[in-house]
Amino acid sequence: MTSAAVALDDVTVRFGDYTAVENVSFEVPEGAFLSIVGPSGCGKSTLLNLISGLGGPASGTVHNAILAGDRRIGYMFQRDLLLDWRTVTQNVALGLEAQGTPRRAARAKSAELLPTYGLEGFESFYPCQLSGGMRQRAAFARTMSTEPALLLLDEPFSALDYQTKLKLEAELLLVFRRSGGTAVMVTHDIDEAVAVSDVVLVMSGRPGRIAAVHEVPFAATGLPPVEVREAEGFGHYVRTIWQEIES
Amino acid sequence: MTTDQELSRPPAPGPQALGRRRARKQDAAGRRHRSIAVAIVLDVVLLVIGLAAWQFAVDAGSVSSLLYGSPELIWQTVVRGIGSGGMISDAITTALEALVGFVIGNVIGATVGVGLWYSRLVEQMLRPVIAFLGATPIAALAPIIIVWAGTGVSSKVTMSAASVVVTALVLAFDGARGTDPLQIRMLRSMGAPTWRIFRLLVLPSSVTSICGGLRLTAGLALIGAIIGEFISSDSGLGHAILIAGSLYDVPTVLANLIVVGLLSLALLGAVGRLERLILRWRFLALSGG
Repeated sequence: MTSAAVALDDVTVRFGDYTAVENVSFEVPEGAFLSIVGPSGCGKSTLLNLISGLGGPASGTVHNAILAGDRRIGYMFQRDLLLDWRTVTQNVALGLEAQGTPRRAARAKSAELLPTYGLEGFESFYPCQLSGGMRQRAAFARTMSTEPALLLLDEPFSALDYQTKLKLEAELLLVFRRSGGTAVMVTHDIDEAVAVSDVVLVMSGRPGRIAAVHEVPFAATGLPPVEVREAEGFGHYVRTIWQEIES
Repeated sequence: MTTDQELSRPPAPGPQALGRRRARKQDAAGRRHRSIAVAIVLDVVLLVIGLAAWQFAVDAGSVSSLLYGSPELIWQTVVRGIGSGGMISDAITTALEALVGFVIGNVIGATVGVGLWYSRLVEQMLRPVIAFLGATPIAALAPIIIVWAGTGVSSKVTMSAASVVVTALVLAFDGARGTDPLQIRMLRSMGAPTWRIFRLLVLPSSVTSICGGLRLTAGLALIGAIIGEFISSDSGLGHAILIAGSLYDVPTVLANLIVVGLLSLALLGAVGRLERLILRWRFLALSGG
């Protein structure tokens, strides 16, 4: 946690007359998990786009050491974006094939990865045969197959039911933590942010500004998300952040 | 495949579950087969009633068989035509013309249509041309095509391909353009260059519409070939229909028309099989595998 993987300095973004994000500065240390929470329309996704290099700020600077160092960025969206005509193995292999790995090697690697993401037994299933949770597992495996140094997550679990979501948080994010990568997640779920992050950035809306920054200790304990939610002080953080968003 | 599978993780379905699923599948398949069988029986019954009524009206003298033919006369023409081999060789000629035209038209149409995804400029340049060609009745082109391609088989193949190509092109292009932009963005973020995005995503995304194009153009290919034969030919079903028509031989016209219909059905059937093969993942979803 020495150097910053991503650093935003006094960034403002405008779309025409509309100011989406104003005077935002923050750093994501290498290896940290940072979440951005806030009401809808507060510019959360705009920040994610900035970090990934889509669109520039009207003023201020965005530095992405991962992009600059030509290392890989992985994305997870709310939609799993699986290709309907590919089986689970083939979908997971897509990330490698996109980078130019020969098809056979990519699929062999993909087949090796599946058990890590709880997909064993589903190798030859098509997406239409899978539940939402299984689809998201496959999407996550596809993203992770390229071994990204920076993971950008845009409400990755918000389309899932509560139980599935907790399970996926526990398994998938732990896999990611073990890989030592850096992550930035946008979410409107305060519970989720407090449970899985090292740092929670609270945004207020219209125009999007940083309302507060919290260093959160719970994810580092390595406890499963269900137990983390029972941990002492968890509720306090959630209530505090809730009030900061409300005000 | 719902939440219970998600929660009880070791997902390899036990033998019992597999058996149950297979039984359910067979049950559904059985129901589908039965309803198809009923439909076929009803079709045949209606056909027989219609033909009987027609024959009866002709026999009773209330309908002129000279003007409208009769099932009996048509049957005799078919038997004679098959016996002499003339009808069969006509059918083969037309079928080959239509098939070759169908393949050429679809290959060109789909290739260009999907390829237009690559260049917005070329697409916009070609847009009015495509609209113009699409609005032109191909039959009106027949005389020139005969001039260009001669009176032999190649002019019929050209006619057939020309009837197919624009429809195939438009559908393939729509398919390519309909590629999910977020999926394109995802592949791009994974480091795929445009041609690889094309191969991994755009091309397979278009396959569904290309298959739709195959189904739509099967009949068009046959129409094109027959129009070509109408203009100038010495064989083929269109030729036989034209000659018989000029001789007021109504039963022969109708008999050949029936063969045209059968050819069209055969072509559609083949396309359907091909589609099931190519879009296997889709039919898996429908059968609830």
